[in-house]
Amino acid sequence: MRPWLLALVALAACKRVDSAEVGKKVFHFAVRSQIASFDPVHASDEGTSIAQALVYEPLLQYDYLERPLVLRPLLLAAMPEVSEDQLEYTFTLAPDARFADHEAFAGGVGRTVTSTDVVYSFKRMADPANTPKGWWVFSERIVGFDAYKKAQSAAERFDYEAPVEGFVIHDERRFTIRLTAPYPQLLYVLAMPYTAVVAKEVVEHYGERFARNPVGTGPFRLARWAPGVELDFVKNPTYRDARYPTPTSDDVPSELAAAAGQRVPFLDGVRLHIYPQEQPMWLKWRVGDLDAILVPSDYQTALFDRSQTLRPQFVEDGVSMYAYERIDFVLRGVNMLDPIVGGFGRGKELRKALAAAYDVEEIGRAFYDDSITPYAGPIPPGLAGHDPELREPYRGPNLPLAKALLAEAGYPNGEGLPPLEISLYRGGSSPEQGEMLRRQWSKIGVELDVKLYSWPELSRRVAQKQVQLFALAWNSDYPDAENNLAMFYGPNEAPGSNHFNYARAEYDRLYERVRVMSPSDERTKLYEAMRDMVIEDAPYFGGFARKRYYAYNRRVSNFRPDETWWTWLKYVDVEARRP
Amino acid sequence: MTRYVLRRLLHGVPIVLGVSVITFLLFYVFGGDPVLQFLGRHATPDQIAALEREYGLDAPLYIQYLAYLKEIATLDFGLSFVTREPVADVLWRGVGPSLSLTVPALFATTILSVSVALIAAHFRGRPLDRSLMVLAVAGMSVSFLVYIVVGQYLLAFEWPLFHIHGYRPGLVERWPYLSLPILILIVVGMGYDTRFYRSAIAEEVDKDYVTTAYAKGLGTPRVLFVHVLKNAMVPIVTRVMISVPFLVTGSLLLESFFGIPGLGGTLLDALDTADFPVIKAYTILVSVLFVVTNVLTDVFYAWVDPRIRLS
Repeated sequence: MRPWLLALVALAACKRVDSAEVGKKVFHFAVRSQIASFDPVHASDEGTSIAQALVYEPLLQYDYLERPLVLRPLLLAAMPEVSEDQLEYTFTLAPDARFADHEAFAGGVGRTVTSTDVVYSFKRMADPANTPKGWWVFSERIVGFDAYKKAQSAAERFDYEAPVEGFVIHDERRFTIRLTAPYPQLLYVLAMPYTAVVAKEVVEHYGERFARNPVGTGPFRLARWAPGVELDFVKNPTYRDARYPTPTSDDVPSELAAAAGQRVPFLDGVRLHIYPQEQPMWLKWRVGDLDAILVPSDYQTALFDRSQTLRPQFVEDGVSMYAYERIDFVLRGVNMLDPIVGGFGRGKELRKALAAAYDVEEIGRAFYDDSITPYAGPIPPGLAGHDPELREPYRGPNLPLAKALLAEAGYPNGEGLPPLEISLYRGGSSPEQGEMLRRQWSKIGVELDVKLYSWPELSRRVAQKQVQLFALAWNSDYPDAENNLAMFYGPNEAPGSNHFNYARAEYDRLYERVRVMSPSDERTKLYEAMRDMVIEDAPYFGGFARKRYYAYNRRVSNFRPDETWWTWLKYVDVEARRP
Repeated sequence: MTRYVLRRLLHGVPIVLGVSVITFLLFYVFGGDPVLQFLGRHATPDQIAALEREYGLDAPLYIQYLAYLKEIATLDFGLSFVTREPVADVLWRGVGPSLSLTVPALFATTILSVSVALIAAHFRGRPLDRSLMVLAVAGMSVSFLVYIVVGQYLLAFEWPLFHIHGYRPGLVERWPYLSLPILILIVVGMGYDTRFYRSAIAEEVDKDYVTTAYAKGLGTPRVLFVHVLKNAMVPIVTRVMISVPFLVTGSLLLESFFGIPGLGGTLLDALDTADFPVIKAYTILVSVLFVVTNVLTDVFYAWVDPRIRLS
């Protein structure tokens, strides 16, 4: 090799490991989207939630090892006490939960988290000046909170000191939330990043710059933020004595159980790398600059074969893979207000005909490496009310049935049916999926126009009810089917989560019953009844859940990603970086 | 000249206003709803109304447009809808990385393209000229994305000469990360530029002054790089000046693939999230740059060719 070429290779090679990291345990992880904000009230997207979970903590989290997901205290000393009527939840904060040191606190020393901090953080969700995204989790749920929001929003100055009847502070560590009606999902909500606890001093210290200067109770502190490139987090030296969980069942793999009882975090730091494109992320992981990635869909077949077995070269390299089953609901939706495909008359038979001509398995083979799980009804696998054996009577591909239903709808062989229109996001594999759908439906004489839009424009059209058919992927906010069933509740019509504008009085009545019910056999039966109504009316078709694959190198241990919550990153361990 | 420049700049005002109207209307017809984007899938009509008030999107269109004009006049575009940062900060942050990428690439591309074009024009019609032009056409014909994907894979991964991805803000530290994207920009730019410059220069090499220069005994390099080049400067200046606004706006694809936090990526993010304040400011920035570079181009014409008088 020529000397100049050698010099170039040497230069590139010596830059690969940051000298400041040598001897330290720094976990390099990739996110696909920009980090928009470090204000918990904005934490709705995945990248932002991951970054915030390193610094901020909500009251609860899920058990890292148990599946299905089980809630555990995070900033609390114990799980809350719930009154018999399910209307009062009393919480006790952990005595050692404290904010990281910062100049905003007296003497620059972080103080203990108090009940007032929790209530203040919740009140920030009501303040329109904070442009909160998560108000829906508290809306109409807490006694006096909606009235407080309305009054303060109209006032000249939003008064955080004004009382809310539903927040009762007993002392520095104990407080009660009083509900307007039972809200069994409250505890899930209190594990969401929206409800993470912030300190008033820090919010006031930074003012408008608060969203870029996080100071929380979490295991890490933000040390550097290069927008659009990466974020460096360093271990919070004053983080409380938190321990790796001890498994309570035999299902937990031994390599995950080995660290039980040890103090966390194990890491000295975390670097989040931002990758809008798949190729550089994949290549950076291949050369070892990244410790773990969510495997980009285009590279899944490079990593593993159709049976989801790692290819030999990766096994030799000590790579491991984790298949994460999302609480997922991917579908082709129908605007029920559309005069042709909507409604409960002939539109219903038409929808079923379209569903019967739709081959979701082919979509899975072509676009998801055969890793999807088609299922009937809106309740994803793993949640109460889901039945893995259930099939819609009109599940495709069943062309004879599709043709019969089409004729029943008054369009024999598609005659008299104007071309239908599906609105899709123009990114990813959506355009190709639209073409496949067009081909599948052409077999029964149905013409389809595929309209492609940017994500903001598609969202606007769906919200304004300007679409006929559309595609949607819904990742549940929490592991309770109520979240998915709310998507068909009439009052939630667009721009709310009921993008279908589905309205059936009987369904709405059942939803109003189940939303206040605690988990029970009776509630599950009602969930099933609602699921069956949706199947019967077919406001969507071709539902399935996706798997996502995480790959990590041999330096990493205790890695069990979950996308419902992200405060688990403190449990991950890596070997110290070598020069 | 001062009067000329001022007059031309004044002529640019209607252009900038026209761009502002088009941007504004396009956003409302084809753009997303920033409020829906921000509030996400659980948006309620009450929340939408409240946020529209907060963003000033509930006002009649003409009021919103007047507010936009005020923003242009004061160069204060308010806060980003998404990050709640001042828009000026968002854009300013991207200017440095974008310029670090595009300025060296423009310089290198221009010097190399002009040199190759001079050689090709000198040997025009001969095998060397034809070979260079075939290479240039081949270079132009390959998609920019192919250069990026293949270049990143081969030169940074298979043969680790460059960094795959990343950026450091330090004035020295950034260059190892920028080398490969700059190289790609040069290769991509050379195809088109070489052909363009070669056509312009080929017109010059037949002129009498070239024959005279040779007759006086000047060597080929001096004839080409001094006399011919000086007379071919007008199209070269034109081509270079056309590129100037794009120096600031960066390269959307390159920035995205190589992790360079420039203005190209900023625009992409703004479009993805319907961040209208950023889109508005970016568009106006580009249109102002176009107006200014147009005027500067005329000034440069007069500078490189004394026969041209500005009036």
